[in-house]
Amino acid sequence: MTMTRISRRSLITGLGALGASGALAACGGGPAGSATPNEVSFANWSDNFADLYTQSLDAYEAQSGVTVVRQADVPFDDYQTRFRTLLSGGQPPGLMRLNDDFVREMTDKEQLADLGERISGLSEEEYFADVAAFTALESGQGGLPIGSSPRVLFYNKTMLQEAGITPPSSWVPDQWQWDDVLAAAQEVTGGDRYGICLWTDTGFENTFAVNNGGPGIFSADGTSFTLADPAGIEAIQWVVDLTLKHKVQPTWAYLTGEDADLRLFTAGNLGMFFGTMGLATYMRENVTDFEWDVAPMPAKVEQRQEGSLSVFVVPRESADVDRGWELLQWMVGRESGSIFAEAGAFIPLHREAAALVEKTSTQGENMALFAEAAGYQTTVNSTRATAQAVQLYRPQLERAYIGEISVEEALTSVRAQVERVIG
Amino acid sequence: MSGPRSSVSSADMSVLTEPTASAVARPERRRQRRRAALQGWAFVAPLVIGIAVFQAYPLLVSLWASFHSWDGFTTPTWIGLDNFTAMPADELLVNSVKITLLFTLGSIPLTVVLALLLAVLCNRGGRISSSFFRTAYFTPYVTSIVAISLVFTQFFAPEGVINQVLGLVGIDGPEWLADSTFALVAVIVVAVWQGVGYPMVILLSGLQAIPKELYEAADVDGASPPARFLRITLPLLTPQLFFVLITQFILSFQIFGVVFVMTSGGPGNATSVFIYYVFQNAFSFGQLGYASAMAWAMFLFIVALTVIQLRLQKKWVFYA
Amino acid sequence: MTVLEKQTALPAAPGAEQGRGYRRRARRLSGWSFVRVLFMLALVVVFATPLLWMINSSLRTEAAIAADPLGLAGPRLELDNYAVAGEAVAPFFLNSVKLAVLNVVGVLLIGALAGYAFARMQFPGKGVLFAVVLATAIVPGIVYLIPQYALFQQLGWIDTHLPLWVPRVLTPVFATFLLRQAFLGLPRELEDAARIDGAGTLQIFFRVMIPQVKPALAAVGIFTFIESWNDLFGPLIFLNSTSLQTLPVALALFRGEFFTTVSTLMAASTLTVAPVLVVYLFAQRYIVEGITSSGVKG
Repeated sequence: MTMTRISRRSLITGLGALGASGALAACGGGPAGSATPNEVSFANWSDNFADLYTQSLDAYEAQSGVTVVRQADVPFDDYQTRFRTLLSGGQPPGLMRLNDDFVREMTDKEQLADLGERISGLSEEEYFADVAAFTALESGQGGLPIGSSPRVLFYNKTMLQEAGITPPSSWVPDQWQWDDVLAAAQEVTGGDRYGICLWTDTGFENTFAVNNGGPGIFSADGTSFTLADPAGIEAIQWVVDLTLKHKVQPTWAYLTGEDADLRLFTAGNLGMFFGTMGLATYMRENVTDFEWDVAPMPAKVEQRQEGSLSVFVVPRESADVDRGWELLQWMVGRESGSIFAEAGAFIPLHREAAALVEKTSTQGENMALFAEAAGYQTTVNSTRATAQAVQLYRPQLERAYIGEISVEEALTSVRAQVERVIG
Repeated sequence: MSGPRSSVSSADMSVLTEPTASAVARPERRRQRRRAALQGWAFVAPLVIGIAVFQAYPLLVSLWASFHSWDGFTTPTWIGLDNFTAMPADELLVNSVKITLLFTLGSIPLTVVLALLLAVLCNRGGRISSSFFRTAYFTPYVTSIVAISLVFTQFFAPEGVINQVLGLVGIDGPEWLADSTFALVAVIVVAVWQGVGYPMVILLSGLQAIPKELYEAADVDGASPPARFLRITLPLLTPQLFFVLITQFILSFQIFGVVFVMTSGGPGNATSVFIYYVFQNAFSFGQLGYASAMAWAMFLFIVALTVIQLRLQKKWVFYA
Repeated sequence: MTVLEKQTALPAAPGAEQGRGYRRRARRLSGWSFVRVLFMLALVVVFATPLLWMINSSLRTEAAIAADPLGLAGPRLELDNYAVAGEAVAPFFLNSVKLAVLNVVGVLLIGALAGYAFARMQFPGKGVLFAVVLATAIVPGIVYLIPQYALFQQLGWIDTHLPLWVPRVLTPVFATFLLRQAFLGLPRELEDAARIDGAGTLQIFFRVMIPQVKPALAAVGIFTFIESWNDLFGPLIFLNSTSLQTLPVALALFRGEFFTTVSTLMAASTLTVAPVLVVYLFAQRYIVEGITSSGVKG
């Protein structure tokens, strides 16, 4: 074979020609056709309740005669990047899920239809108005949370009872203070067993900061990184110390395994852990060797919980805003809400539907507590760049979790950076 | 995107020197040549169209975006070189460059040495055993990163398989994915494990092309196995080694999949590699202009590096 | 046709001849050989363990995995996992197969045409063009990602299978390079003889030249298949409708927002990996042969 080496010159010529040929290719077709009548498209991420969404949408189709074109569910993490292409893609869906972190950014950037007027037509008594208010911003209201998945402490009832501990069954702060929970965790920790696990659900950041008397991760106006205030730092350090100082919580390293905390719990080696109502389904299916139940968040200055909101929005550019709104109205309504409530998925926005949650208790667990928890909702104050802020501070917090630095060092080191992107 | 792993299959290396056509140009001959030219262009036409539309055009759009502030929603605004001048002050970017270089330094020697070892081992033995080993070593390459990352997350748990094995030989294993130093090592291990099959095959093909007579002659001279390896195998394998090196550099700088599904850049920013940071900027932060500028900076860097490698090849690559 | 006799001029199949040569030596050094095989087997364990763990976990219950993540107790033949996983991935299987076939056939065709032209035909601009083809290999994929999305949007290709095969088929850089090298290795007399017999260019290409580069085609085919089969980002970014989705995305769906069911995910992973392994097993002997015949060299 006759061969010579490719020369640098030919490589550079190649790259140059590559660029030039691009100019020739710069042609594009027109936008594709618009949506056909009597259809509305719908996008969601996979959140373990796909069956319920199908049930709700099927019922809507039967009742309205409108076909709901369902886009493929994508994994949660991927959806957080994908929604941008969905929104900017020219043909956004009629109704789509949006992570609560992005509601303000997308509303401010005028990507969402302003439904404020239509939403104000809904009866205030029928819905949890304070939950609905989450999407109402100065720049408009692009959608609604169809429900909230409250966060509580799941606990191994068998294990705690053996140690003589009975967590409260309703949302009262007495005898369920931070120190009580720590004491309970210390009581059951030993051998392969850990007493508690709080930090695998990132919702702990805001919940504990608020319960420690602060405004949460961000200030109410969304321009200040208040997690780095003393109340925030102290709260996070308390959670970190459960591992580093008291050794009642598994190490961060241990938890890097997929769902390591869940598996520790189902194996009967974890006393209490912090999670959303969505996990109750998993518990029912997978916990077989012991009894479990739910308890309220431990109290300090406050006793709040950050429920995870399932927000759905109507994109401004969608082919049919009216149909999107009609579907959203269905999803927050009693009938659809009942589907989710009866399965114990989350607390629907509709009050009457929410009451059905209690009936889902199949193993004697205290499902009424979730409905009660909805009344103690706190939400992360929104900012115009929450996702970016989180990407800045959370890596630093991780360093504190593994003991490289203190929480104070972690949070103060990024405070200026975070406030630059949200300010 | 077809995923960084697949985006580069080969960077080349060689162009044939065409025998120059005879200077005699009778009319008949000219017509023939024109026909041949048309046929040639017809054969490459689909490729040319593909490169123009799907590579060159996007490349230019990306260059245009790099001079703009653009969130994908609102109208882009021209900001000149601001995206580029902002880079040195961006601590997270500087960190990601550092991490990427560390990854490259760790993964390339490991991949090349391991690929060479496996290739040499597979080159011997009977047809069946050789096929068996070759297949076994190549399987990681064909598996999906989604499944594999989940498996490795379990393996790297503090009391996972890896630390238990290390425990057997008396080593107290680190907390891999929760350790700022060892998380990157874990990423390297997974990347090498999955990626070594391809260079192994390239090197194996090189080994099989080495004429057997050379070894027989060496046997006659009584050369020891190490001497045979150093004096015959290695020099004759340098073209393939060069190919492997150049492709591995390009692939390493674009490491993304393992980080994306296994560590998400953590703990801290210890495994936040360059492409991951670009991806975050583009798709999580909505900074398409800045992300495009970073992508272009990487592109220029790879071009420069490839040019240097092409220049250096004269010093060590042996062409038979 | 007379040309077939020329086949002997092709690079010899690797296994046969060389195996014989080494077997003689192996017998002489049987002790050393034993150590080498042991070492190779140990490496096999290292390379195979993650896959074995995957299969093992796919045959156990979720609770069993929770209690004993390492799974040293071995499988319990929980075939229910496969029933659940099979039902979940089945609809995506067909899409993956369809895309894999389109990609493999398309890449082989376009790559072979271009590779042949670069190896055997004379046309102006050939050198520059080939340099362009090679240069595209060093452009980081991330540079294309954003504009490509915009382009597909303009073309109305979002939520169709087109972005998942047309670009790959029309830019077969690796295939062009490898097949060019393979065609270069063939003797000129092949075409000359066919031309004297009165065959046209296309006929020569399809009937005479293509059959001569089968190993290289097999190598390109299997690599294209793997790439298409495992593509996660393309389907994720360019597809919306469930009915169009492919296997890797289906896999990712087993990782829920709140929890992941490891056992079914592993069963689904095993089902996804199996076809690639089968295809690879059949084609693997051509891979090395194909790359050898193409003489990947500097």
